[in-house]
Amino acid sequence: MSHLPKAIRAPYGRIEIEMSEPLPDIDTSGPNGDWNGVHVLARWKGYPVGRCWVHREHAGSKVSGEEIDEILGSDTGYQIATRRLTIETGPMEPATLPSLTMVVCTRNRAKLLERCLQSLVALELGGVVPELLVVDNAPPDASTQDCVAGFPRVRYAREPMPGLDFARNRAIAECRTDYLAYIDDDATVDSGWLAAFAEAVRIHPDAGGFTGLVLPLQLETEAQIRFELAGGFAKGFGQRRYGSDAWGDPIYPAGAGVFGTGANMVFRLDALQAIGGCDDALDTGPPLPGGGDIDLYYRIVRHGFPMVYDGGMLIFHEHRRDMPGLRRQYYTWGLGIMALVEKNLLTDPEARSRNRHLVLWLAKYYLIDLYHSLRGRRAKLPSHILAEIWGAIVGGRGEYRRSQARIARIREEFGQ
Amino acid sequence: MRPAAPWDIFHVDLSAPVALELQPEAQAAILFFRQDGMVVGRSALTRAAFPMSAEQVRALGAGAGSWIMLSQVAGGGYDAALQGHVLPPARASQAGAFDVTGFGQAIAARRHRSSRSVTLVICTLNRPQQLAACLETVRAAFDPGPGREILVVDNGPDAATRAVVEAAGATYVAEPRRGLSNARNAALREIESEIVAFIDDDVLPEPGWIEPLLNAFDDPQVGVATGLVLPLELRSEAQISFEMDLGFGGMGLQPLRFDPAFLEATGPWGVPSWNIGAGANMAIRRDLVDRIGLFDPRLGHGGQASGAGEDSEFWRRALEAGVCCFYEPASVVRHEHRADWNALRRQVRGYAMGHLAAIFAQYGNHRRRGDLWRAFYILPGHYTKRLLLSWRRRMLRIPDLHLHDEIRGYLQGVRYIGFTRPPSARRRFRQCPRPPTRQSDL
Repeated sequence: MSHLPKAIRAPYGRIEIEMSEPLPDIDTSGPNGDWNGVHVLARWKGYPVGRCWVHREHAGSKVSGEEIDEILGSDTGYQIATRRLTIETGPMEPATLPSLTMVVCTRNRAKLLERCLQSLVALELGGVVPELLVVDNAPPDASTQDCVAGFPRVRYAREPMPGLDFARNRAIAECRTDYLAYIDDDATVDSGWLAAFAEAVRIHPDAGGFTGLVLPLQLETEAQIRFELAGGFAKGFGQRRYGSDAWGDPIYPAGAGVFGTGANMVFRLDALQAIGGCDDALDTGPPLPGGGDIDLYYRIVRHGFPMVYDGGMLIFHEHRRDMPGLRRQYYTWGLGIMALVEKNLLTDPEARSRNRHLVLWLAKYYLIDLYHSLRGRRAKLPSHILAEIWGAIVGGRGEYRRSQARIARIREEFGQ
Repeated sequence: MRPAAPWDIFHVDLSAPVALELQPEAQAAILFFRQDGMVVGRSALTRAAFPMSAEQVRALGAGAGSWIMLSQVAGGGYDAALQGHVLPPARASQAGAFDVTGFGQAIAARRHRSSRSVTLVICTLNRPQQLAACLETVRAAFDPGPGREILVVDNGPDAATRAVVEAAGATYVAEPRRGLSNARNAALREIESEIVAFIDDDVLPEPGWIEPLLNAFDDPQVGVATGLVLPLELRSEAQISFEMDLGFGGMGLQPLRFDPAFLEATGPWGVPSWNIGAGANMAIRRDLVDRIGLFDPRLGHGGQASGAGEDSEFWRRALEAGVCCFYEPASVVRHEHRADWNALRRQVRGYAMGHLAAIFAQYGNHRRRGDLWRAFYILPGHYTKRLLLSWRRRMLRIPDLHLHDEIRGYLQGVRYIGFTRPPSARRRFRQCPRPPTRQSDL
């Protein structure tokens, strides 16, 4: 991120361009003239292949299609070529949708949920639609239930014990299909999601889990822009397969989030059942609100199921709007990853050295990041990195065991 | 940590991918993705990735091969300042115009049968069985015809080799003075064809491998063409280590043109002419020898010579004379790496020693200080750095296996410091007092 503007000012616009057609000129100041730049998502025949940022401070307000092409550059060209090669040499008939339940775990966020469900009910592939399920986690009122009642196709389930992984486990118990997708309630799903998922399943029927691309739904505040500029949740374009080992990677599969993110993930139900579902002690909400997704990927891979990442499984996520919220997000990343290391050191003695290497790798990565951030080369502020480091320190010092104790109390409370 | 031996090798045709299954004892596999015969991508996978369905192979191959395929169509180029890294100007919009048929046409243009006269030279020493296998493959792959000849230089010489050569219908030349350079020079003195192609006797060429090399000479500036060398088998730890840790120079999948700009850009740090390719698969114009001289008999494998580097020194002389070298990966041969660990260690020492000797010789010929800089600063610095970091590699269980042998070879190579004398101060090796006898004429 060496080409950041001097001051990152909100808002930014979001634009999508289609690469199979002549590229349009782009107005970086937006229709109302208030944008300070744009985030451009490039698709090729609908399939996402690349993205770029155009800052008004650098590019001025008018950017030609030619310049956009240059900024998008060869990485996007590579993705288009890969896509063309896959399609042109591949079978012609489109893949059929396997039986799938899409689950939204939510708590007291009816407005966001409604937007998410609207995008979900619009999904279909060749006339087949997925089952939809909302898990309401320890609801304080009936707002979620009322919202779901407005969507006749959506099933409603309630999980009284507070904690995201309790809700995820409730979804496993409720699921009657081969595959189970978890989508965050603050996201909307792209219309090409199902086609990409069906294609990924056809190629990798043995995979235990699938993750996809997460891009920003809005870039209205500085926190949202900084988060996305610093990498956000996005893990790149194209398809990747992760087996039970990776050539020459000493920390695999303990590495933080190479696989994707919990806002957008699908699992084979029998794989989830084989690993014993989600670990309730992670993702409990404060004080340990993260790590459950990475823990799932880790255990899926350690059980011998491959994981597949596909950039076509695209969702748009509404990032934290305020700076304190963003700082908390980075704090929970550090907290979650180190709590997970602690858990894995206890439960997975075979992979102990990989988890130890992960700690060294994290330390190195944080320090390099901090150095560049202090010199103004990162969208991530030094305070964000310090928050993440502090989270890692807290998380590595017994947070997982403290969380287990809390979970035991909650279970007692609910008589389980 | 690298998987243990043995490994499998798969050549996958991207236009018709098949399901892959490892042999029972294999711990890993290297996949070479081929499209229209050209290698467009490679992938190394551990045992856990198998069995792979045809669909998975296709998806993996599309990702591994599309970059090279796109850049062949959209046009790549050699960026001299980047020392061998190629940046295809492949923009996003060009990828939409890219297709498999266009790639096939681009490759077919490089693989069509050339009408240039060529002599294929195979230098051998006491390996009649391997030579017989090599000659058998060569006869099928070479497609002999008018203006195409096969010549074997026997560096032994011995009767068994001669019998093998004559049974195969090739020309036999004996060169009793040991050394690969001497053997190659003996062949060059015999030959009258326009192009001379060299392969080693432990190499099995793929059908039609010679055509892309010959077609490279359509460019009048090109005097040297080299090709891709792939492993024939990876059955022992030594073969795997040679492929993964040592390998031949260059061996990318992009065609590269090394021109005088390359010389100027890299000169201050010592010209990395070994990146041009491997002597195990190369062709040169016969008349280039009249301009720049023969291979330096002080360098190269065998006999009293230094161990390696005769090919890169020859290429360097060509570059200095304003001649371009072309690396053409559409030409593919498969090399049988040494299976024995001790033989590999000797080879590593020989490479390191010959490398330094070749650098000295290049300084002697061209007096560019960059070569001395490389010999006495860059190389020692490189070894020191690796030595300091070797504890970390051991900890990560990817030990630096050949470091000590390389350093030993380097130190042994210092005794060739006399090669830094300019040519005027020594007898010209080009003038050879005793021409070898052509046994087939006797």
